[in-house]
Amino acid sequence: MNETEIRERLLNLAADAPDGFSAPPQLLRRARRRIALTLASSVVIALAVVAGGIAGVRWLRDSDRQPTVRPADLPRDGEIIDVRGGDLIAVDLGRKRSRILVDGEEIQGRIGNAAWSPDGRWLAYDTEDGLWVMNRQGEPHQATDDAEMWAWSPTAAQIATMRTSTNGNVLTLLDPSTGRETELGAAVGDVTGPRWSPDGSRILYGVRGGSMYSVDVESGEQSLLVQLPGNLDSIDGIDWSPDGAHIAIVADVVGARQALYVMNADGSGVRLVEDNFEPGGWPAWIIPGQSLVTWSPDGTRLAYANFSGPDERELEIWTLSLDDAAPSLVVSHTNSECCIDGGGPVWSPDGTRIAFETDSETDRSHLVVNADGTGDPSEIDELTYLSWRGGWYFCYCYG
Amino acid sequence: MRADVMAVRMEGGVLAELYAQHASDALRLAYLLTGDASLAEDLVQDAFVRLAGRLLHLRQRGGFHAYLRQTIVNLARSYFRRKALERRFIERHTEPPPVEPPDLSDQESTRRALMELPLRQRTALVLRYFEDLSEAQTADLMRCRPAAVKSLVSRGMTSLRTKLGADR
Repeated sequence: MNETEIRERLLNLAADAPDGFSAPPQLLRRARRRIALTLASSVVIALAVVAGGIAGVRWLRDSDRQPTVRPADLPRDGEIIDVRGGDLIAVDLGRKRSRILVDGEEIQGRIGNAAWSPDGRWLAYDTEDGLWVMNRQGEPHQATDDAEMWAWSPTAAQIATMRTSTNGNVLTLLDPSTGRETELGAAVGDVTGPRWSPDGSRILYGVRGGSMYSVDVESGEQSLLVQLPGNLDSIDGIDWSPDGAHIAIVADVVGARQALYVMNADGSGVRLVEDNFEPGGWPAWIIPGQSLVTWSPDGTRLAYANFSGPDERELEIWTLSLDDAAPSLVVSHTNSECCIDGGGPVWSPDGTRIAFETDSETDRSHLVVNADGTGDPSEIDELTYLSWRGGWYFCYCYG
Repeated sequence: MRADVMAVRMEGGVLAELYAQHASDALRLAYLLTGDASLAEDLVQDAFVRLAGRLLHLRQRGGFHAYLRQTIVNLARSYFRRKALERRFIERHTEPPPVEPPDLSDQESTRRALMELPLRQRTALVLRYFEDLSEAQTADLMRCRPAAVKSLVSRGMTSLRTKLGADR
């Protein structure tokens, strides 16, 4: 059966669908009730806002306090970013409250990815019309009109982006304070990245075919860091260890699944850890902060997911120690339905547990397991999982 | 309040127009996702009612079909999620139903084979080959990676080939 035949079969089958050329009166009645309800709610909300505003003005007038920067505009510890109903929101895990950062009705398309700057002073997010940076007063500024690949520098002083030009991709730094752009030169070939080193001195990017380039941020000088062995296609993930001493790389193998490499930060000591795995998650180069593999907080171990078994219905979580030991299976989670997506292991802040996501046919759930493999997996709430992941949001829709 | 009443009447009229314009397409999509004519009607009516409340806020009236398609896909997913919970409960408490003899028309074979696919595979196939959406558009609507769409479609096709081949 080819595509044409499946199209024909679907068309034939669709002919069995019921016809619906006129709106049944019951539907219109329900719909009108819904519209009336929406209008009534809007009126009630508007009245509440007006009443609240009047009360607020009176309170301010009666109060001796001076106006200050609104604290609600400042990111607070423990707040994570999420998208609900098209709005970009910040969720305060401790207080179980959320607030809208970006109104989905006011943007072009929908939020792609979003991330606080590491110092919490800025919020960057991308939409269909480019990359936006919001300051602490909640004012968004369009930084670029194309921004599929971007990443905050560790100091939040810059955002690195791969911008498309007639010469191919150009690695560009953006200063969120001034909007000033600094070009670091054209990137070689069909790239993935950029990924900042933890000290902010270097940016790595990968090139289709398995090459990795390193760019010195100060001088803009770039050099080939390593040519990975194997018949490789694109590089999907680049992850620095927290101390900047090691780098983990996930790459597509031509005609096969994926390969995981670990090497020293200077490109030496390349070690092929896995050569036939499917890590789940999403290409890290496109998602600021996303990782296909994750380093433990102390930088001594890696965690990664692999789908295995018939129809890839078993989701395995593995850890790898840097002492040349073989990878260690932490847990194998079987789903009677299909685990197409999921994975995304994240370490608990103390490095003793690993949480992961399973996205089956009917449900998305989050589980946690001891990092040493003891005990059974147990459920963890999604917000805790998201906070362990780093408090940023990424869209499931690109990759 | 008079203006509100007018708005309700006006939007109700718009809804009737939109229903006349889009209901047939919506019913076909819902039917391919559910394989059940009456369930498809219910889903489509629910989708219109849900969108009715948002008509006042829709920025692009012309994008109604996209909103409707998204709502139907979401409602089908919710329905099957609930159904899966019910099924697990029922399976624990009842005997399996008897297997029916495989004497089926081509269309019925297709319907059954399609319904036996996991919902995500079925949704990906229907959106790609019935709604003619691109991989990126399908991924956007299903909130998954385009690579996942590719994989879902590929697996769905393989399963359909096996199932339909076995029926012949």
